[in-house]
Amino acid sequence: MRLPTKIPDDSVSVQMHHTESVDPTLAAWINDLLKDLLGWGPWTFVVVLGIAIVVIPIWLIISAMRHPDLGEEAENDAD
Amino acid sequence: MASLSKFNPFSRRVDGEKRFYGWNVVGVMFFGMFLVLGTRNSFGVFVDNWEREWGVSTGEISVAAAIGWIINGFSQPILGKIVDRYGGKVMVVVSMIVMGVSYILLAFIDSVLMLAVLFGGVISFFAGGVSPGTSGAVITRWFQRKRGIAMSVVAAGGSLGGLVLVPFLTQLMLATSWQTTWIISGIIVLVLGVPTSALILRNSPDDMGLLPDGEKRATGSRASAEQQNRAQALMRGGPLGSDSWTEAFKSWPMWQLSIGYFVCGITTASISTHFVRWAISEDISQANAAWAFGILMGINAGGVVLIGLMSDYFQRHYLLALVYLIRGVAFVSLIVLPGAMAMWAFALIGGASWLATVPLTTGLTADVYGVRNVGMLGGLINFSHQMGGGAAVLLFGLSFDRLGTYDPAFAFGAACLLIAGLVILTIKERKYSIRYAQPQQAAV
Repeated sequence: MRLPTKIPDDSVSVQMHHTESVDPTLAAWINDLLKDLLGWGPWTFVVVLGIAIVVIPIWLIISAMRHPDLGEEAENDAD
Repeated sequence: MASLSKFNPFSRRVDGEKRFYGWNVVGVMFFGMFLVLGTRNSFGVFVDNWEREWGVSTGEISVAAAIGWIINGFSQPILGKIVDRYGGKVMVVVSMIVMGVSYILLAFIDSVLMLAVLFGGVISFFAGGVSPGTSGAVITRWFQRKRGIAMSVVAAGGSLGGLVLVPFLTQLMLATSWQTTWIISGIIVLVLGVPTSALILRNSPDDMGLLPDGEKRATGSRASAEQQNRAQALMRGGPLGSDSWTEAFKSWPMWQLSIGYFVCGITTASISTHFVRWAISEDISQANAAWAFGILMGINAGGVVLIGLMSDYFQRHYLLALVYLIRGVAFVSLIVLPGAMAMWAFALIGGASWLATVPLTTGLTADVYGVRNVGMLGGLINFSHQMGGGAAVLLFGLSFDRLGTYDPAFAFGAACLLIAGLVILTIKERKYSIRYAQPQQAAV
């Protein structure tokens, strides 16, 4: 299947490698696939993924605050 | 069991003592990459809405993305230099504040021009502050022996950020609006990213009276002097290490690493950009293509951690060459295998090599040239990646337009990867890396 290709149209898509954006078409395809697979509504996705996003920094902060080296640093600063 | 525990890179205890604080720093940088790359990856999700509301074409919005690509490439050495001088903490925190505020402002724009200024300019510039280059500059100060695994965990954060935040923001937009989605993105970065970085991140182990890798402080003047020499050697690097970053360009490894990363840019940007068009041209179904890309990203996150772990036990340049050659095999599979089979082969083979270049390249740069200039040098190597990627996106598109098939472009990619693999193989790591320096050399 031959498709018309315009160079500038290509550059918006991309690049989940370093810094750039997901292809809009691919994002729509992945979205359809997830919907078919799990049958969830948008809000269910938002809540489930949102919890995953929030849990990471909470765990990081608790883990660091319980670390003895951070406590020692705070004591030294206070002195 | 005791000998096996030596190979556990995340072991909670170092030498029978507490867990090394450097792993908390790795956690923060992982989350920083997760947030910044994940939200930037999501740009494409908003394109349809902007086209409809502003009455513009994809090509016009592409200009903003292309500006962002170039600005991000230029920003990395500049911000890397600042990280080398002032440390990573201030850069990460400031970058996140600017990006978070800018995401909120994106909700109020109504033209491509404002998108180009805000996303292509401000956000893309400061994204360089939480990039593989600048995070490498932080992590290499904290780790020497476990540099590979530490760097690879941080790199995997970017990959997982795309996997989680792209569907999250897509669904959020479906449930609300694109404006609300950008506001919530900004709030996430400001409320979760900024405090986490400000509270936990430290520029170097020295800031907390610690040593790299959690090494215990030696007792006795001789042992202590040796330890100090090792710490200085870590900053200085191997025999090519210098106070001036420009000196690096007078030696081969800098060029060899840059050539490799240039090819990395060519081959990842071209595939990512042209993946959908190629899949359609091969009559591959949407669901299969989505599955394949998801699997590629999943293997990518696992592959980068595995390669990073291995790189702490083997010479990094062998692994880096292997990664380029494996990716070359994946490119060949796109040419010789029929449509769907080629896609799955590429997802499985290529996925393992997709991001593994990041920790290996940054680790080698720090091993050879030392830690003091790694932000700047890493940024410059990243710049070559961006330039290779930009050129390849154009060339692959032109090739498809003229020839009606991607096969010649894929063959070009495979040839470039073969060359990159061979060039990297010629790096004399044993001669130039601080990892293999003799004790008397390290002490000089």
